[in-house]
Amino acid sequence: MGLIKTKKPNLPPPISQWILKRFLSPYSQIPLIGDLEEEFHLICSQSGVKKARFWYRCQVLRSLPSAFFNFIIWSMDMFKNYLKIALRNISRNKGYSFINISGLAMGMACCILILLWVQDELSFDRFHHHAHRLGRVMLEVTDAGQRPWAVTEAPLAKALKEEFPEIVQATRIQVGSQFQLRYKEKQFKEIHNIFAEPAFFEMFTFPFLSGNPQNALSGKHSMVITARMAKKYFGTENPLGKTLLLNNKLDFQVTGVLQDIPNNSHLKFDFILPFIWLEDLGLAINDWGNNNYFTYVLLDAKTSSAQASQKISGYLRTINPQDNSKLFIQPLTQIHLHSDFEYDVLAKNNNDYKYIFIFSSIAIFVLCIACINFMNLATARASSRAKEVGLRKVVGAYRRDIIKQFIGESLFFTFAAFGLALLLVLLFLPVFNNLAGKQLNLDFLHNIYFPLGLLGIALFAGFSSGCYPAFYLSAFQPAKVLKKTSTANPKRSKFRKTLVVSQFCLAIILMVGTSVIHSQIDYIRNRKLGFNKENLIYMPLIGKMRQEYETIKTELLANTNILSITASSNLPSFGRNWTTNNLDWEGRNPEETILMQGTDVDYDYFETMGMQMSAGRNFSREFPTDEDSAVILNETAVQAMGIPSPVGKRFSVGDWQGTIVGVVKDYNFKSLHNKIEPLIMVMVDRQLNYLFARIKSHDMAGTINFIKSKWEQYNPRFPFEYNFVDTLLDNMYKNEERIRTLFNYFTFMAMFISCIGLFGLAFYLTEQRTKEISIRKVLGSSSFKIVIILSKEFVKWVLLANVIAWPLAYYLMGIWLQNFAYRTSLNIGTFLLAGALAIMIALITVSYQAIKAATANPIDSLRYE
Amino acid sequence: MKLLSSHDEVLLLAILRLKDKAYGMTIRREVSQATGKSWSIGAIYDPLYRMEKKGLVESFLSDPTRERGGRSKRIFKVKKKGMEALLSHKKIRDGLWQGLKTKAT
Repeated sequence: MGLIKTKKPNLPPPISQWILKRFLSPYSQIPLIGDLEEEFHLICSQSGVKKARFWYRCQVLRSLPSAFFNFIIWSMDMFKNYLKIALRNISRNKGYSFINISGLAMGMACCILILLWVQDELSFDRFHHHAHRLGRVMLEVTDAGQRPWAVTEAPLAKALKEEFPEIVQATRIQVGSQFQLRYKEKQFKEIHNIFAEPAFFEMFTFPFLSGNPQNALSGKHSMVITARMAKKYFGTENPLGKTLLLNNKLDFQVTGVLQDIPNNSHLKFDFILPFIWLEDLGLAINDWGNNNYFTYVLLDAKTSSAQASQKISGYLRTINPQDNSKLFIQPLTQIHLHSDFEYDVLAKNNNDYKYIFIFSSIAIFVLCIACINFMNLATARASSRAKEVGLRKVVGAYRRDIIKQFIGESLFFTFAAFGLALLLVLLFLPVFNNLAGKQLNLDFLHNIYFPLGLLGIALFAGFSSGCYPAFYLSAFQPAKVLKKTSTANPKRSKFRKTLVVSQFCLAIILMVGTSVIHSQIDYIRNRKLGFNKENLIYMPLIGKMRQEYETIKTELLANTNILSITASSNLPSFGRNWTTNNLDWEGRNPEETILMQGTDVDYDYFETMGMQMSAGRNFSREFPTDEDSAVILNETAVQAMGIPSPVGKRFSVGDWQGTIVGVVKDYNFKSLHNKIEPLIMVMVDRQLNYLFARIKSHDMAGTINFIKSKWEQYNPRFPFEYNFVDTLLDNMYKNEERIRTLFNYFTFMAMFISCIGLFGLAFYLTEQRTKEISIRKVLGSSSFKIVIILSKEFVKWVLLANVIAWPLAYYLMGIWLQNFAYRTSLNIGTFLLAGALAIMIALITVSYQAIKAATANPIDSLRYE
Repeated sequence: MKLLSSHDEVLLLAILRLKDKAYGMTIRREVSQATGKSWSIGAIYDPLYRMEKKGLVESFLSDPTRERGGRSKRIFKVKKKGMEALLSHKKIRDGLWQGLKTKAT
């Protein structure tokens, strides 16, 4: 056969050639492909290129099925072997496998929970169709140090919409208050409601179940309710067109039913009332001057909120040349996580993006630690697998086969752990929801990213924790490992030690944190507030009770178990007082202004609350002028005013003139996050919102029943409502309680994970020292001494962790305590205790390995020498 | 000793006939010509490799040539053991044929 000489040589089809190379063993590859090519050229010269190529392809195609089949059979065979070995390893080291898998599972479960939470937090308000075009108008005030206001003036919404073409739609929103609603015999007290304009539903697409969004709020006495409300009042009846009686006075017609408001909406309400009705309540809803309303705007599709902010920034100056405050637009999607504003009462459940960041980092951190631990445990046990690797190599495994095997094995482990993690998540989700105040669930169907993310976590964990052991183990030289030369590399343990130290650092910081939070909460609970919170009940003065207050008071006092009765404008420690700096007093330095808070009180206030006077006298009926002109200040106010003997001095608030009759000892009228501020207490024009009753501790149920009967006598249409002041105060620190519980869990997690890390290290180090231990024993050392020798090293590491953790914990907890005006001190005992606990737990973990090593028979490890 | 299969026998004879030019393609052509039907590549190589394992034939790689895209040939040679097997096979067969007078009908 002669050489074929063409300008462009005819080559066999490249794809087919590639397939051949892929499947053929190196042994038969070269001559076979050569043969085929030779024949190809032969056919080429006889009957043309096309036919030759066709023939070549046919040859390859025909050989494919059997090649593929062979490939599967052989890899299945290996896979079966890998699986068998993996399962054998698990069952041979049950304890080790359990710790390894459960450690990883806990890490993953923790990660999944946190990711669920983060995902929920990030999803806030994104369900509206125009979510990215919606925003809230904010007010940047000129006073230094004051945060921007979330509230704006009443006519702003309309003005902005008319003035700026970028603003397509705008609505005002006002937070509602407590209303009594009634349908036939069903009546309930409702507090979650808002006032909004008809444009509201053009902007926010809360889905309607029935009714027309366009005109649902146009009537003055129409209302839109949620499905939950509809069920509560109307049951199975069709609510549309029915009326609800508001405060037993006014009928409102239901013009729309909404689907229940999703949990991830920053606007939360049970029903919406028309904004214009506020006018009937006596509010000036068309005047400039009062910043009382929330303004939401819808931008056109081309304008970003930043651009719009720039445009409207100086708008207020065109209304009032003296007004220097600036407007800006906060995007709707940022309201939940980026709100740190004054008067932002609409968004009570707002979170801080910093927490999202912190928690996400914790999730990743926990997962990484768990993976590294897993990796560590796997490599620590390398020596027991070394022989297997050696043998595999001897019988012909390539390095890549062994890498494949170990990565596969760690994937197997991680998926087992992943299954366990999902179970754990299911188990702890209710607890977690309770803790986080959320309704999260494992939703695989509606959100495609979530299961993908989970799969990502599992694969990431599997590969990252499998890579290192795979490469480490596959690098063993069969001759060496089979001859039993030690494979230990002392350098590698440094990495492990650092890891264990840092894990323990974290655990110790968390332990210190838990105990500091605990003692701070105790401190708050038990701190003298300046008034007696025990056996004190309060109830709102609503309906007829406000007018009939004096009569009710007399009637209540007839019961000997009720010691005294008083009333006030607000609850103690819930400082919603009035604030003013328009003050004047005798001997005032004209340059000086002080901001003071004010509370309206009734007679007997100080006696009932158990407050003490430090100078002067109490409000008293013996001085009829008290009701008009008496002022009582707290000590802080007197100090701020800087006058030595305040009693009897003139004191004025705005146009009103009064006389200081007494000074009350400081009491905490706000939560303990705040310092006690100057406080004015007056009786003039008093607005009494709450009634307080000091009762005897015996037969409380009877006393409360008595009060209830009085309530029903005067206010039959309102359900009886009361609470204890101390319960109220405890609830004030719910957030701190939440953090405490969270810290408890985190501490447990961190401790558990650290122990796994330590366990791995102990395993590794004692393994390395087997011979040393045996020789010591042969030379006469006791088992006890060996345990001590082995444990000493670990105690050293945990001590080092303590040294690093203490200053960090001190610093971090110091920052946390800054949140409180009144705080416990950080004492050294807390740190010592945390450290001691860490050492103890570490010792228990290590002792298992240490005792095992110490009691082993020296012959076993020495006989091969 | 085991008898050769006729498949193997044909291959061995083809190698012998080709002398030192016996490699995959030539063997295949030789065999196809002799039997009058097309043999697949697998039908050549598989038995050859098998017989190589048994020690009936041996193979080595020749120098690469141009018309094969620069690839070498695997040249096969019948080993002594293979030769013996062929001969004994022939003997048995001839012995059995002796005295038989049949025609294909």
